[in-house]
Amino acid sequence: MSEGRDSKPFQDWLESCHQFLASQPMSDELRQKCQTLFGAWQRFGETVADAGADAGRGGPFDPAGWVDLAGAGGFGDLFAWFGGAEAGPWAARKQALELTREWTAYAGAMARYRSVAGAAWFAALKRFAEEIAGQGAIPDFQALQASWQRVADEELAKAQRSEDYLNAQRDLIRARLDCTAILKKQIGDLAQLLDIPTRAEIDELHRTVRALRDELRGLRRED
Amino acid sequence: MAGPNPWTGFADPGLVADLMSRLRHGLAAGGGVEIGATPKDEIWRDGKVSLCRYRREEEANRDEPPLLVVHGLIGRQTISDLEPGRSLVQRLLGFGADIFVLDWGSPGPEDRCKDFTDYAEDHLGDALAEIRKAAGRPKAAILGICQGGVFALCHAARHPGRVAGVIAAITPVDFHADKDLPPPENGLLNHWIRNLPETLLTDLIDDRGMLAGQLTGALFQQLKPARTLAKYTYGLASMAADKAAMETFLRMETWLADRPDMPGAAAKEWLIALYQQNRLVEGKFKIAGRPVDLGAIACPVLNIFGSHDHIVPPACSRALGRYLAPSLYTELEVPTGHVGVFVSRQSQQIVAPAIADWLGAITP
Repeated sequence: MSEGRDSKPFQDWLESCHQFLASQPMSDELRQKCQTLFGAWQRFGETVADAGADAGRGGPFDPAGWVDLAGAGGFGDLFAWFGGAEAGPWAARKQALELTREWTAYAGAMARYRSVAGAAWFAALKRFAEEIAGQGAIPDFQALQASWQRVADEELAKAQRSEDYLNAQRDLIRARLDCTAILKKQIGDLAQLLDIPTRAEIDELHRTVRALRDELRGLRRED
Repeated sequence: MAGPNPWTGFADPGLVADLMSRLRHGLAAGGGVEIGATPKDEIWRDGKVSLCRYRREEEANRDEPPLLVVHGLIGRQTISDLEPGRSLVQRLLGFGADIFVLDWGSPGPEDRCKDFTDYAEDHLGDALAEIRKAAGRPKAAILGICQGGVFALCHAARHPGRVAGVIAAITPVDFHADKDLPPPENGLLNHWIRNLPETLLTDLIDDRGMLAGQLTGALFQQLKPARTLAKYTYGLASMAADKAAMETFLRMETWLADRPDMPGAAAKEWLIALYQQNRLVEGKFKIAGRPVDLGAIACPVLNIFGSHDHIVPPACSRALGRYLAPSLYTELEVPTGHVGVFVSRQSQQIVAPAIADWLGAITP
C-alpha cells in the first residue's frame, strides 16, 4: 500500500480485525480462510491506493476512505457521487439542522413582528375606549364602527412608522429569505442528483434568450 | 332594495338567519362577475403583451388623437373598465374617443429579466406604431395609470415627436416629495420602502426573481388594516341586501385578488432606482442606456391625482409640474383615493369629462 495521506487507518483497521479474529476460538480451516481473505484485502487495498496516488488523488475505492466516512476518498467520494458535491454521511443531517435553525429564527422574527403589531392594536383599542367613554351617550353602531376604523387606522399607521416596527419588518423579511435560501439549496441538490435542471440553470437560459432578444432589437433599431 | 340593518337586529335570530342567507346567495350569484367587459378586439401581440382596440358603433372623433391606455405592472388594466357605470373606458367612448389598451399579460419567471426598457421603450413604442397603422393617425395620446404613467412619461421624454399628449393618472414622479411632510401626507408605503436596506430589497426580489403580486396586495391591505378588516365584516354584511353593491364589491375584489407578479429587473428599477434613489427627477433614471430627461417632454400633459391617495401621496404626483413647461401642463385633483380616481361614484362625473375636454384641445 502506498504511504499516502490516509493509508494508515485502513491498515490499522485490518490489523485490529486480524487481532480480534486471532483471539477468537475457531477451527484451523476457518482461520486459514480468514488469513487468505485479509491477504486479498491487503493486496486489493494497496493496488487501488497506488492507482489513486498515481492519479494524484484518492477515489471511491481508496481504502483510506473506507474507514474515514467524513474524509475525502472512499466513502466520502461515494457519497459525493451519489448525492452531490457536499453530500456525505452527515450532510443531510447538517442541512436539516440548518433548516431548523433558520426556521426557528423565522418563527422568532414572526413572533417579534406580531408582538409589535399587536401592541399597536391594543393602543388603538385603549384610545377608542377612552374616546367612547368621553362621549357620554354611546353612539349607534354605524358611528361606532366609523370611529373605531378611524382610531385604529391612525394608531396602526403611527406604530407602523416606528423604529420598532421597521426593525421587526426588516428582521422578518431577512429571516424568511434565509429560510427559503436553505430550502432552495436542498431542492437544488436534489435536482442535481436527479438530473433535473435547477432554477439557476433555467435562469441562465432565460438570460441568454434575453441577451439574444436585446441584440435583435438593437439590430432592428439600427435598421 | 332596503334590507334589515344588520347591526341593530342581531338579537333577533330570524334577522341574523335572513342576513346570512342573503349574503350566501349574493356571494354565490356574484361568483361569475365579469370585469373589463367592454367589447374590444386584439390588433397586435408580442408574446404575452397584447394591444386591443375598443369597439365603437359610430366613428370616433377625427379632431382628437386616439388614446392608448397603459397600466403599470402592479394592477391589471381592467380597473379602468370595472363595470357599466364605473368604467372610464365606456365614458370616454361615449365622448367619441378612439381607445386602445395595452395588456401586459401575466409575467412569469421566464420574464424576470424584463425591465423598464422593455415596457416603457420597446412594447410601448411597438404599440404606438400599431395604433398609427390601425387608426391612420400620426400620433396617439397615452393615458398612463400609476406605474404606467411613468412608462408614458419616459417614452414621451425619449421620443418628443412621437406622442400627442400624456395623461399621467395617480402617477408618482418625485418619489421623495412626501419625505418631509407629516403623516399621512408622508406615504406609509414610501416610508417602508425607503427604510428597507437596498440589499434586502434586492434579495427579496431575487428570491423568486419576481415581485410577487400577492405580496404587493398584502402590503396595500396593510396600509389601512382596520379598513381592510371592516370591509370583509361590517362592510360585507351591510351590503347583503343590496345586489348591485354586492356585485361591485365582488368586481373590485376580483380585480384586487388578481395582481400579476412584476418581473424582477423592472421591480428593482421601480423599488430601488425610483422609490429609494428617486432617480427620475434627478435625471439619472436610464431607459435603453440613456438618462430620461423629463424636461424634454414636448407634448401637453394632464396630471390627474387623488387628494386622499394613501398609496401614491399627492405631493409625489403633483411634483410633475415642476419639470414641465407651464404651457404644456394641466392638473386635475380628484377628491378620492388611489383607485377611487377610476371607480368611485364621484369621480365618474369628473375624470372622463376632463379627459375628453383635454383630448379635444390638443393637436392630433
